[in-house]
Amino acid sequence: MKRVKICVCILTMLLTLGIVSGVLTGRQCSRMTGLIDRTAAYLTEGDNRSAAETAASLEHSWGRFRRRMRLLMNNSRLSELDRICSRLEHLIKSSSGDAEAELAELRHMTEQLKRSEIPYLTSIF
Amino acid sequence: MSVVLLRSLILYILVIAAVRLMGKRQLGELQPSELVITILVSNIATLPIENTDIPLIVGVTPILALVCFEVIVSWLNLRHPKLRRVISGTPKIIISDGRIDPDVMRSLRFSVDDLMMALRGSDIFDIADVQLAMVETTGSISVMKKRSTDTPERRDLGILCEDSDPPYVVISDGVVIDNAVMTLGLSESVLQKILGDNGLRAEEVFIMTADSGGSFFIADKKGHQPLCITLDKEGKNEKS
Repeated sequence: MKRVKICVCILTMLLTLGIVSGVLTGRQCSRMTGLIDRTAAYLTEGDNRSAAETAASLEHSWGRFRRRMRLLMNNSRLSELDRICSRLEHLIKSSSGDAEAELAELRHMTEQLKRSEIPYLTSIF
Repeated sequence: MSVVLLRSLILYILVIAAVRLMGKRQLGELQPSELVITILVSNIATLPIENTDIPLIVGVTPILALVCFEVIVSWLNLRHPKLRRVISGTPKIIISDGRIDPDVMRSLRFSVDDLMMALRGSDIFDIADVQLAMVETTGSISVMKKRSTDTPERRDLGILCEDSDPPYVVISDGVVIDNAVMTLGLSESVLQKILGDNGLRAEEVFIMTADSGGSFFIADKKGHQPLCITLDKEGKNEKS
């Protein structure tokens, strides 16, 4: 019976960890999607300065989240997002045409990250 | 490199803890579900060691979850015989009253060669000697020989004997094992007396065993001829 109790405790802990991880990821991804959309809107309007500032805050927000989530998520998946977030501000400042493409990719990857952490039928099977 | 080393150490401890959590049942004959869990756990444990991109928690989660499921299912098995039948199946009789049941063998996909091999594994080389054979849920075969061909027991021959536990090791490499001494209802002073009577101290003893009937076996560290002592009713030594 002692073993069963230990197992129930472990499973509860794992379940809590899973829920916390899912909620944190979902919240962060929504925040990032908002920032990405705002950056894209500034770029469309031609306001590169505001777009660069939003991209910087996007990178900052991602950096904080990443430090925590490194413990719970596959590192290779996070590294891809790292790469894009760190390039984005410089691309916007240099008025590169790649910025919009990178933003679209970042948005897509953010949504994928969110989907992978929340147990939808498609992510389970 | 040091990360891999540390991860290996952590997973080594975790896998040992997981096997301990599954209990002694796991270390004996494996049920089909237990075999699957054991293979899965050993495979999953290697992933976070090899790939440092996988966080340790992510690697550890399936191991812990599988072990916990296994423990909970085995607990449920104990409480619900119907569930046990679904998960582990039931033993099947393939030879009953000396008669082989080909239908059961066919349903178990058991060939004659498999049966003969299993019988040979039980030291039976003539199928005519078998009274009853059962395929257990673990896949092993338990065989009962016909009484007429089985080895006679003491009670068959009318030889009286006492049923007693085998001897316990009470001193191992000079160290007195308190648990064994307590189980036998001895005290350390009695041990010291027995050793003293034979010119020995506990530190000089390599192995000493004792049983509940008052028989002792003492081998010293110098490699002298071991002593076999039986205490009579007055507590005096009888060497043999």
